[in-house]
Amino acid sequence: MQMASISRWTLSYFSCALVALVAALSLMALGFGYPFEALAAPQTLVVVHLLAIGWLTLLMMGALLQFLPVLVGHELWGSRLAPVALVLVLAGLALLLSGFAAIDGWPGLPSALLPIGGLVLLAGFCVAAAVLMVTLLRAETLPLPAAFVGVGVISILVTAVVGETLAAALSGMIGGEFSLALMTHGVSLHAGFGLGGWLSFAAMGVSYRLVSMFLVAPERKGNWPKAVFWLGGMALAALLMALGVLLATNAPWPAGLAAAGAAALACIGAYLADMVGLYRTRRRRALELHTAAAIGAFAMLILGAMLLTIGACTAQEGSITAAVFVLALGWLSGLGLAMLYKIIPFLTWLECFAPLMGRMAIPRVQDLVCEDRAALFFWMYFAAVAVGGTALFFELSPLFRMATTVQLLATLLLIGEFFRARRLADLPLQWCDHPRPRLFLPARTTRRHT
Amino acid sequence: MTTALELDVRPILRDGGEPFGAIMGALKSLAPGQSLRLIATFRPEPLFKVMASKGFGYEATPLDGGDWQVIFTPQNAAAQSTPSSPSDPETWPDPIHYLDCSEMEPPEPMVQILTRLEAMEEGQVLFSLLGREPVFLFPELQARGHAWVGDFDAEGEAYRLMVRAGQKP
Repeated sequence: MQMASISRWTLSYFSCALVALVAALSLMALGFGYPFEALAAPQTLVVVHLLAIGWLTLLMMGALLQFLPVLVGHELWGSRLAPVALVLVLAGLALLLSGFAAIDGWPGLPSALLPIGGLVLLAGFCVAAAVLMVTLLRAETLPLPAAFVGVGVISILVTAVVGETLAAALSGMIGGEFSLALMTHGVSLHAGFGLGGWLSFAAMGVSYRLVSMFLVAPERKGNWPKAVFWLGGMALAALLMALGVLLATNAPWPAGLAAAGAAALACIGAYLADMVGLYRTRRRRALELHTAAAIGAFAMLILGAMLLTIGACTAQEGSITAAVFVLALGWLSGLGLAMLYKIIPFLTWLECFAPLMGRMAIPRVQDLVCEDRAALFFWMYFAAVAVGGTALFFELSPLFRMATTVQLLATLLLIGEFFRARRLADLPLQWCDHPRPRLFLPARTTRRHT
Repeated sequence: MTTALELDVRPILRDGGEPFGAIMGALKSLAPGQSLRLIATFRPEPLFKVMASKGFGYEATPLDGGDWQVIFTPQNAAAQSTPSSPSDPETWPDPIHYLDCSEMEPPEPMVQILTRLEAMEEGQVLFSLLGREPVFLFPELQARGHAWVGDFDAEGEAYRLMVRAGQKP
């Protein structure tokens, strides 16, 4: 039966993700990791993995648990496994970060924590991938957005396996020429699969459906979205071949990476054209804040792609790090925060008011938020990302710290807005006695048939 | 099987009268699933269309003396004789409400459909047209004990939803 119940653990995923984002931004604002340490320094790796796994991956997984059933019109398979995957990913991340600390020379920590953490993470990703993949395969038809998610789920497993091999090499469990080659040339493949194949590809797939839903625009059909999918698929295939060449010969394959980059750029261009099409054909004339803020994220995708192209052509470290920063914190994080600004109030509204619908007057979803206040915080956030990216590009470290401090502040203020929505704090007075839902744990009871 | 109700309109016709009112009167007195046996002085072609629109098939046979016998049988006799069952949409009665939500912005269709259902009796059916599959509505329909069936039209642009109101709590 086609339906999308409220995913019980999605808000727990979101809460853990937001904690990781705040932790990572705090570390950056305190001058921990790049650009105050080397790019490959353990401190940088702590911040990067806190962002990539703790924040972005948990955010994406939480969102997919809720919205994959919406994409495929089919109930989620194995929803009971959602907390298992969450605990495994959190435990794996904690072990992995401890492993990086061990490599940095923290006393009392064995470096074996790194590959152990990687294994626990891989287990967590496998559980989550099983839930998502079985749900996909049980659907009668596979719409294109769901195919994006399928490729994303495969990519996260590839990312984790490459990451686990890197962890084994870094911790000294494997050595020799292979280990050296992997550490020199494998990191960009690991990052490409993670940021591109998993996070960006899944975000693109979900955004096709969510943006059209939120804008009340007809879904994109025909060859254009298919071209986006196949161009992205070609980019990932080229990355996969480059990985094969690296494993077989201990040498990089620059032509493969160039082909992946070219296909990825074409994919991004076609995707952005589709998004422009969605905004142009929308029936909801006035943009709600989350769809306006998403435009900021799309702009960051353009900026990040340009920086990455410059970086690939000039091999200048500043432009590559600026590109990764803008893509991770502007495009993916910006889109994530924008969507959370809609998803959290919407799920809260469903949880609190769906049982009353039709039986009494209820507030609108928009009554749960105060857009004027939050708009300022989104401006702050995206401006800080732009300044932070500029600081990395021109290697202005003090400016980078100031920018990430503002970004942290904007994030905390946005989390305050999410909290207020959850507490029904912005609802008119008549609702002040309405029972509040639990902040981030699943509701205690589920309703049965009346 | 109940025996057919017989109506002989030949006297009305011979007197130069119009039998349509009598035929409609007889239809109203039919039990569910019961047929109507009509006897007339000619083959009543125009009546076949009218009866078809009311869900009756016909079987016309000439009688001696130029008269005609027509047996009108309800087409969905089987469906009408069994009560409407939530799990079998084939047995649901015709919708009594039509709600066009295709131009509404989500989540307004969900609110409108649930509001309309609250005012309906058990077994009554609501037909609704939506711009997309209302996936978040379904759990609420289930929680309230309503039954539903829906699909996209041939172009895949409109979602057609029929909801059979469940028992009031």
